[in-house]
Amino acid sequence: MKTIRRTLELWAVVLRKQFQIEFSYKTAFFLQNLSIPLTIVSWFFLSKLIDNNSPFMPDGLDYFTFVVAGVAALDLCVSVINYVAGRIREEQISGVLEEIKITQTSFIMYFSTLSAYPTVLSLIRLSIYMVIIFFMNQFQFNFEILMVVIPILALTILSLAGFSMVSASFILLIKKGDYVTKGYIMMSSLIGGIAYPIAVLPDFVQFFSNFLPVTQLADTLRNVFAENLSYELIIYDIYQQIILALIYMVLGVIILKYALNKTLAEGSLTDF
Amino acid sequence: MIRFTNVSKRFKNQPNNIFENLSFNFEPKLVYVLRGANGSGKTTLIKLISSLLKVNSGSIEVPEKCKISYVSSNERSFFGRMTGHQNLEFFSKLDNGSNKKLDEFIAEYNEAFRFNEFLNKKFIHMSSGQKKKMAIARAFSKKSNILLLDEPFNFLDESSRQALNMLIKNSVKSGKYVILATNNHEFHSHDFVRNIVIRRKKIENN
Repeated sequence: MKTIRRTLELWAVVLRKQFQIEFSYKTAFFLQNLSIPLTIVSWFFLSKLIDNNSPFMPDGLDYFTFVVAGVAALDLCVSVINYVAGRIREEQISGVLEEIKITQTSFIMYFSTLSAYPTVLSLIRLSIYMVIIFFMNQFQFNFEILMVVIPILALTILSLAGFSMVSASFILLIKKGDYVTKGYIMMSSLIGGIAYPIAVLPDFVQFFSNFLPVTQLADTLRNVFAENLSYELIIYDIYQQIILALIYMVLGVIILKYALNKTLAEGSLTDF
Repeated sequence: MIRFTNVSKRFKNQPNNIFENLSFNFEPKLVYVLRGANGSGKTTLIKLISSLLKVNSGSIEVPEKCKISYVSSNERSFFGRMTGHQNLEFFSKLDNGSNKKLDEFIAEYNEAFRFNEFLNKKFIHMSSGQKKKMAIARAFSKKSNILLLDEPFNFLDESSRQALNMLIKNSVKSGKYVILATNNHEFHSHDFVRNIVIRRKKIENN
């Protein structure tokens, strides 16, 4: 109970700190969501060129809804990883990481809390995307939808927190470059089923798609807008997200511990 | 007691050890003033105690459940876009500290360090002396047993130096371990001071 309380307290402390930093850049803070309507408008016109009756498209879904749900899922997954990687790099350069190491908060705990701020921000962005799709397609909202989306979102966030630790570890080890984050973003865009269903990809590529949190999240969001909610598909997505969350969290902790031991032995924690 | 036993430390891509089979004990209620030429290993020794560095061989024993306060020689070890007070609050929370204790410390030493002149400024806008005072406030407002101070007097004005002297003396009286890396002569001739010189990869009592 004490650990849970402390964890929540830390999430709040780090969330507040990130908000204070981000809010100090007022223009960027207020304009950060401006890209959403522009993205949606571009896809709206592009979707006019796509045949909605393609055999690869999920039942009862037009291409516009399909792609915007995919873009919203990608936005969330990319923002969280990218943000955490950026913060670790900044804190490495400024030397703040050393000061955090001295405190009573473990690095693993601190690194996992860094995803709090981008998660909140991304959830707001995701909600904006969803509301726009609802209005444009005049879908009926019901609470059943929320009950489906919330567990998948929670599991996706856990996977992302785990992957963020993997990404942070590589920044600690290789300093500049952040190839893991870049590779993850590229793979998510390419084989995550964002602009096209993964069904069009070769079978062996589809196997790898299933290891990306964005694939299941995009699937769930699309399922919400499908004519009939497929509970079978949702349960399958939940199982897959549980496995992914476990894999990424365990992998994140192991790799981060290794990276910390190595950088502390070399004395390169705040080298850049 | 903080006990170094046959400690050797070498940095990556450097051919020679910075310490070789170093054995030494640090006791509480004393100020250990580390002196030595630039690059002799004063900061490395402090970082080894704080576990910011790991030994290549040998061992360092630190009393169990000891909390460490560290004034780093790095001027930028805060969040630049946050104010002084926001920064101190953040680090205090990471250490399970309370805002009340922090505010009490600030109020008590406000006259000496003139905290009210800069705690509401963003860290990036502070002068070097003010940044050093931030590091001192972070270290001394924390309830710790080991104080590691790396060049803490740099950039400080006279009244702040005197206040820092007082803080260090009070820490010694309250039974803390105090290890100070400096080539200044602030603590030259007190009975609670042990001057030690790092030379040729070893510690020499002065």
